[in-house]
This record gives sequence, C-alpha cells and structure tokens, in this order.
Amino acid sequence: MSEPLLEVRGLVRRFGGHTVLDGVDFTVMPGEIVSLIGPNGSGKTTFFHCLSGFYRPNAGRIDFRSPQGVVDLAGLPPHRIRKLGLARTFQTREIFPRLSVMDSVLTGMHCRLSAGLWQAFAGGGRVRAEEAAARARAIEILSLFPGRFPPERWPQPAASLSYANRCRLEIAMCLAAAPQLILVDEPAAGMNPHERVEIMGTLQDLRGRGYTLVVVEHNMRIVMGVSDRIVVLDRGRKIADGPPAQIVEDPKVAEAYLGAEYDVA
Amino acid sequence: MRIGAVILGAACFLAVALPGLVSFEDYLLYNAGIALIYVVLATGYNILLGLCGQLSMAQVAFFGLGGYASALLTRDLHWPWAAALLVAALLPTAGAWVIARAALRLTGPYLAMVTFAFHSALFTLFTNWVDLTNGWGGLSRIPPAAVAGFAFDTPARVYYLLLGFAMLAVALSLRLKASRIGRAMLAVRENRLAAKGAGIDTARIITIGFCLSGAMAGIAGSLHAHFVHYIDPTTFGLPRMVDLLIILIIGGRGSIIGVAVTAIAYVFALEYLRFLEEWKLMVFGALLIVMVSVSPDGLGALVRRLARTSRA
Repeated sequence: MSEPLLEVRGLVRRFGGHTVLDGVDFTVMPGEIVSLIGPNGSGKTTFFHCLSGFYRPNAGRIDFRSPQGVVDLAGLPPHRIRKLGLARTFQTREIFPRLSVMDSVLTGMHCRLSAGLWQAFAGGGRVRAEEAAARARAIEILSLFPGRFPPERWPQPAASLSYANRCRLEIAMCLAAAPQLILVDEPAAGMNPHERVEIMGTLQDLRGRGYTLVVVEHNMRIVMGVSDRIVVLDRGRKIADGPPAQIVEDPKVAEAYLGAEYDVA
Repeated sequence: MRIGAVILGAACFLAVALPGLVSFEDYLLYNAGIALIYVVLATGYNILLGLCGQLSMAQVAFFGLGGYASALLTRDLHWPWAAALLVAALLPTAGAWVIARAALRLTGPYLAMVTFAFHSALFTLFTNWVDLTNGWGGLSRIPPAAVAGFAFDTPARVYYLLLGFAMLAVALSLRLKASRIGRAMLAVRENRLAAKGAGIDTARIITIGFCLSGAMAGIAGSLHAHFVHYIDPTTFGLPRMVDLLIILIIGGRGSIIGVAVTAIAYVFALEYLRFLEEWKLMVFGALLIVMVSVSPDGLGALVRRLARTSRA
C-alpha cells in the first residue's frame, strides 16, 4: 500500500465561539477521487479554505506529500501551498473577467514560471523561451477540454465564457500549476444535465491522467458516479468515510441529511 | 496593427525632430517638456492603478517628494544631479512601500481615502515647513540637470533628456505588462481572491506596483524641478491628482500607449485651452463623460475597436 498524498489530522477551525470544523481527520491516497459531502453548513468549504491556505486552522495538521517531501500545510499562505502542488477551484467560479482565456491559464501557471521583475524589464532570450514554453503548455492544457476552448477562444476575455466553461477554465488554471492534488468545489453547480455528464467525464479523465481529486459536490449522481470514496461531514465532524455503496446504506448519513425522526421503513 | 506601428514611428520621429522644427525660445518646446514629464508620471500611475487596480491618491505626493528632495539636495547641498535623482527615486519608493503595507488591508474607496490623507499630510509639509521648503514662496534658482560636467541647460538638451526618460518609462512599462509579473498585476486587478488562488503572492505584487509607481513619480518630480528651475506646493496639489485620474481614464487604465499619448494631449490641451479659463474644466468633464460612455476602457480600447471594425 502506498503512502497517503494528504493526511489531515484533528483539523479545527473556529469563528468566534462557533466551531465549524471540530477535529476532522481526512486521508487521500494518490490517484483517488474523494468526494466530500454533507448538509449545508457542515464545513465543506471551510475545510477547503483551510487546506488551500485561505483560512488558518486553529489546530490540527495537514500533512501533504509534495515532490519535495512531506510538508504540514497548516497556516502556510495560498501561494506557497499552490507551489507545493495543491491547487483549487472556487464554488463561486472565480475568474479574471477581462483577462483572455490564454492569459488566465498562463496566470494559473504563475508559480511554475520564474521570470521576475528585473527579467521583465531586461527581456532577453531566456524570458522569451520561458514564455513560449508556457504558451505551448497552456495550449496542451486547453486541448484537454475537446471542443470547449478552440483557438478562436484563446484571445477572448474570460467574462465571455458560459458558466460551465468558466468551471472548465478554473480547472485548466489548476492544471497549469502541475498539481499533485486538485480541490474542486462544486463543479456541477449551475450546469444543465448534459453539462453535468460532461464534467463527470472530465473528472474521470483527469484521474486517468494521474491527477488526484477531492470534490465537493451536491449532485449525488455525480458523487456516486465519479467517487472512489466518499467522506461525509456533519456539523464540523466526519460521520462517515467509505466507498459509495457503503455510504448510501449508512443510517448516520441519512440522519444528517434528513433528521433523526426520518424513518427508513 | 501595421498602421499603428507607422503612426507610432512617425510620432517618435516628430518627437525627436521637434527641437529642429521650432525655435528654441518657443514655448511649444517648454510645453512639450512638461508633457514628457507627465508621460513619466502618468505611466508610473498606470502601473499602480491601470495594471494592479489600486486606486491610490498619493501619486502626486510622491511627485512632490521627488521634486523637493532633488531641488534641495542640488541647490543647497550641491549634490550632483545624478545622486539627487537617485534619492528622488528611492525616497518615494520607501514612502510607497509604507503605504503599500497599509494598502494590503484596504480596497477601493478606503484605499483612496488613506492615500488621500497621505497626500494631504505631505502637502501640508510642503506648505508649512517653511525653513525647508520656503512654503508657498517655493524654491527658485534650481540648477539644471547635469551629468559628469555635461549640463542640460539649453532647451534642446533638456528636451532630449526628458524625451529619453519618457521613452524609457513607456518601453519598460510595455515590457512589464507583457511579462509574468505584469500578468500577475492584471490578475490582482481583475480578481484578488482568484489571483491568490492561482498562486500569486498578491501582497508582493501590490507592493511592487506601489514601489514602481512611487519611484517613477519621484523621478518625474526631479525632472520637473530641474526643467522649470522652480517648484512650489501648487505643482503638487490635489488638482494635479485629478489631472492624472482624467489622463488615466481617457487613456485607458492599463493601456501604456493610450495613457502616454493622452498625457501629452492633455498637457497641450490645458495650455491651449487657457482662453476658456475656468470653463476648460467643463470641457474635460464633458470629455470624461463621453469617454466613459463610449469606451469605458479608454482611448486605447477605442482605437483597437475601430481598427477591428475597419478591417472587418
């Protein structure tokens, strides 16, 4: 059995007196798709924010196996975490409205490029070569979404994209950072059934290419369709963790979603 | 694009040939000098407001800081101009760094208010620290710029000095905008949260933007002091900040060429619309409203759009 890619232990995050994450343990193995589900307010997005550095956890460890070795991500700033190999998308589809599709992907590649301020002023062959290689890599990434980002779309502003394409662009920006682990926050939100099937295909395709994914999603058809494992959060605690077939049978999960009075019979 | 390059080339040729075309006493050459200084000042502001999207009201304060530092060091302490220029660039850079630390916690109108307060504080220093700045009386007899014994003391010489600095400012800014750092600046402007998520150290990028624009404002201040040989607080007052904002909006925030061209046009327009007296502000107000409704992204975007439709 290989080593876990991500091992979260006892993660706590409080807002004032309110404990949103109450000692969460969470493990991801390389090559897995793990879905994180739970009722509204159960702490899924807060969990993502802690992993990606947007929130500082009050307690707990986030051990991440980066190519440089195991690093505790707790409390590191987002740009450090991204560079270590953990990229994320946002539930609210955060794009750069007036940047072109191409420039958005190149922006996602920021942490993998090196030209600094003085190189920018001085120019020169090495900087040009880096930009050319970055562009070629960006084109490769955009072509992973067949038919969605044809060349005529590259110079168009990101704001001109449909909601579904914005999600794909966010994923493309993640891929540009060559991550070990991608956190995908509600990829299917606002999509029609046809697009949902397609995004499911995209997630599976990414796993096929060796990426590891953690997905927060409300659409159970997608969760059941793509997940190797499902973790259920309720009021800041993990209440279930296992393969999809086991999770649907779990009475604690039904109770979390539907209330204690719900009678299965 | 080719037409654009031809026009730009012709403009550069005209700029280089200008002293030969007009008499040296001509006040056109004086206005051209002021215009070129404003190119440096506005281009620096464009990096901060246009590329990084930080609405600072402190740019003219840094302009003044550079002007007073350079004037006092050369006139009273007899420093060589090159050394004074360095201080005139570094002092505002340090000031901008301090403001940037505060700016990281603020956005939009709140940032504008804090930087506005900074301008007011510095402006009060210019007017009230009479021992140093001579208050409203201003500093006169500022020596001309000189490097290693070569004095920029004829209209043509100083014009070429200013042209050199203006072209350098524009060229370096164009390179910056096309670079990885420039892209990160645009990302911060477009969406700070997403920029953070995309792995950009947004605090560092904003700090770089503040420092670069502060340095360029300080250099412009030094150039101004040694070009006019006289400065007083009105040179660095709030109306100049409004001028800069108008130049940025008409030129197009983030458009390096658009803002540089607008800076030149604006300085000349101010001069040749003098006969309108107070009414000229109405003209600019009207122009601003028209520009914002026709092309909110400014002159640069308008020209690009027209070029595209004419080709199609």
